[in-house]
Amino acid sequence: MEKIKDDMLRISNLAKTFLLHNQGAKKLPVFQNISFQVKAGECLVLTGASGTGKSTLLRAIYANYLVQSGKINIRHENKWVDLASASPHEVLDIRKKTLGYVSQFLRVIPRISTIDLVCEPLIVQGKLIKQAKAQAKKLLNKLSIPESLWDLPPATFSGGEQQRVNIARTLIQDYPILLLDEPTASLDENNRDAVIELINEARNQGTAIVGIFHDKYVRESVGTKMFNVELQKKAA
Amino acid sequence: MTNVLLSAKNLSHHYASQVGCIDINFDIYPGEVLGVVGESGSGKTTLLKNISGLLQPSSGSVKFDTRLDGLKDIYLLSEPERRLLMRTDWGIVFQNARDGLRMNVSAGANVGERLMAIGARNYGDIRNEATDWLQNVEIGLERIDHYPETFSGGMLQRLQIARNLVTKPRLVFMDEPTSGLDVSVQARLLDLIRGLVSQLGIACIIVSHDLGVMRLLSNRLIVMHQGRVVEQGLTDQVLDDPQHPYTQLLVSSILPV
Amino acid sequence: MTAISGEQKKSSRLKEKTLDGYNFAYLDDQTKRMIRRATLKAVAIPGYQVPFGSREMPLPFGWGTGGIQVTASIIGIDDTLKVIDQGADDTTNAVNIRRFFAKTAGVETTENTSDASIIQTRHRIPEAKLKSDQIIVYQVPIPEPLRWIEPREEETRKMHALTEYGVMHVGLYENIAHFGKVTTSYNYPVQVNDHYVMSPSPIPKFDNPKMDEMPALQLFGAGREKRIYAVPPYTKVKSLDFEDHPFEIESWSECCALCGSSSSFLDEVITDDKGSRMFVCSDSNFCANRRAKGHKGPGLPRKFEIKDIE
Repeated sequence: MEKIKDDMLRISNLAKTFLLHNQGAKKLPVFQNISFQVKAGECLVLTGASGTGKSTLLRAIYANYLVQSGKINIRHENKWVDLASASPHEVLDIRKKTLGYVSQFLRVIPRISTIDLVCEPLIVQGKLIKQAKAQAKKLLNKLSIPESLWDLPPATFSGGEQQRVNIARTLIQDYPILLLDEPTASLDENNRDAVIELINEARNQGTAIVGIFHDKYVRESVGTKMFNVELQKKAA
Repeated sequence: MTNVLLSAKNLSHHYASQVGCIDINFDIYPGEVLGVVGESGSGKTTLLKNISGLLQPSSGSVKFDTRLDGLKDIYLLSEPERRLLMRTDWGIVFQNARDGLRMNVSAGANVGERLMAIGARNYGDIRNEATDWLQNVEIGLERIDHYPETFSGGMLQRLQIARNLVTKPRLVFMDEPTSGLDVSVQARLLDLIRGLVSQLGIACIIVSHDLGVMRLLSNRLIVMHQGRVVEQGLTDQVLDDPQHPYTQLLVSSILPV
Repeated sequence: MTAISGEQKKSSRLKEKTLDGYNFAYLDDQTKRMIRRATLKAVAIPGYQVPFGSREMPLPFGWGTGGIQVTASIIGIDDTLKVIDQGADDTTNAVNIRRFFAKTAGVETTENTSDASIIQTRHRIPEAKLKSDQIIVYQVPIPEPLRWIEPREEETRKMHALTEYGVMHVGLYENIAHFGKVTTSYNYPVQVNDHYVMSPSPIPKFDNPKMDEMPALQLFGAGREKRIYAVPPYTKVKSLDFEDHPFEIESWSECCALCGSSSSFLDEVITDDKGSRMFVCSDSNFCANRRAKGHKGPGLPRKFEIKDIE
């Protein structure tokens, strides 16, 4: 498949600084001069000590944070789109079809049941409820979320359960590009392994992945190349 | 790429020497939910009136992608055309449900009115549609012949929504849809709105001062302060990485639960 | 003996019969012109309510001042006037209004529908089919058919201008929803000439079909609300309805006790304190004419019996 060889994501000269106006215009530089590419089927692991801006970088790639300079080129529907300068409309389209993101913390939407939360991305894409639910169930089973919890909103779940619901919600779709922020952080060994399996499956299907994994075992199981954010910072 | 649904360009409105809103620019596409957030006096209500055809702006244009004639300035349409647009392709959910409902006719008639206004002449069909919509907004069917006077605040809002959606509008304007409602009632209403918007692919412009509502419902956000747009972007970006001092102040002022 | 000319007859009748110090038919000429202009406009735009400068009349608002002003503006010495109130020529109002015109205009009056050139009516259309040389003037309390749902005049005018009549069907819907059928039985809204929706005045819906393609000119006057409207001869007048709840007129299981008619609008008359009743033609002239021709009804009311409750 041609997919395996193509660049899916090209980051060039990305820089981010936080400016806190209400704290006397305090500046917090996070990173500068970040550049790398990720091909289909690759999993780039962001490394560096805690606080060096890995999460921030990932969020910036998702356009959740704004960058002060640089380009975030995404291969979207066979064209290159620079997320940093795209219109909100384009960004939303990219997030819907091309770019998936698993955050560190599940933002819980109250009152929506687990199964509905997980199906939602498919329903938004127009899939039939029956089909979407079937897929959701499969994934929830894989991630060992017991059936008794499917109709409950995840607000009262444990951290690990919430994290798995989070993962399910994103992985249910076949995103060409995935951003994963500590997906296995609160998981036990078995669940961790299930997640690793899912990540590798995705990679084998040609998904390009950028991830943060603080667990060395996970890094080595899924990562195909590394990028050290800390080094980059020191060099800057 | 789909066409722009509504486009506001250089929109300004003055009340004599008092500024309502200045130089507003934005585009909204089908299926998007745009939140307009600001505190009292920010000009958000003026803006909403300008873009929903209720108040002609002092300057600038508001263009809508009409079904038959493409992008047209809504204030250059004839009054009958504009009124028809507002009754069919648009919906307006008012902050006070009484402004958007007929309190002296039954719930079913409220929902069926738009259909009758565009020529529906079969009682049975109209009633069936009204029934379907009441179900969609989770109002018990036994209330179909009851008067809105007997409904609670949350039910009134849901009835308003049903009344507007019956003609399958492509764009719905909402003015503080949950204000004045109890928290649990708000929650239910927000879920309903979220569900309907995603199921029906409706574009929505919601004005609210409540950032929590915006986080839940909107995918884009406009922040207004003293009549101007101070920040615009994706909701999660504006709330998680606010750039403008005023936005940063707003976000940091939210009380944690 | 020299024959007195028609003109001389006219002016002598005028001098004899009309009141001293009053203009012909009470209203001054400028007022008549104003009302005629309004009426002309009304006829030109079927069903459209034309505002007019309603004058102070020698009877209060709510007693037919609008109808009287219209009649006063169109009546001439050669006209023959019939006045009915709920179908009867002999009720107080009908008698008074007829006398008013006899005194102030010196015109011939009649109770026979087919002999009249102008018929002023409150709340009924005569049973006898009207002809193209007749004019019927209706007394109207509230001319605005949208008033029940929209109190603002500014808004109702816009709704008429833009033919935004969805709300009228809302009214019918409400009826059916609450009562299973349309219960509006009088002042049933109609659409004139496929355009304006109009209040036909509080005539029973039984009379609505008579308005459709009527050969006579129909004029409507509302004195208190200061509106005149009209339906020209041979104009389409359609009662509003739903496809699956079509417009229906009233029917009775009895016939007229006096003349036996089963095709006219019947009034129910309670005849004693034991519940006896009989049904009688509301149109007194129609009933009298039938009786004169020899038609007879079942006659005196029957005694009320217990088994009648079932």
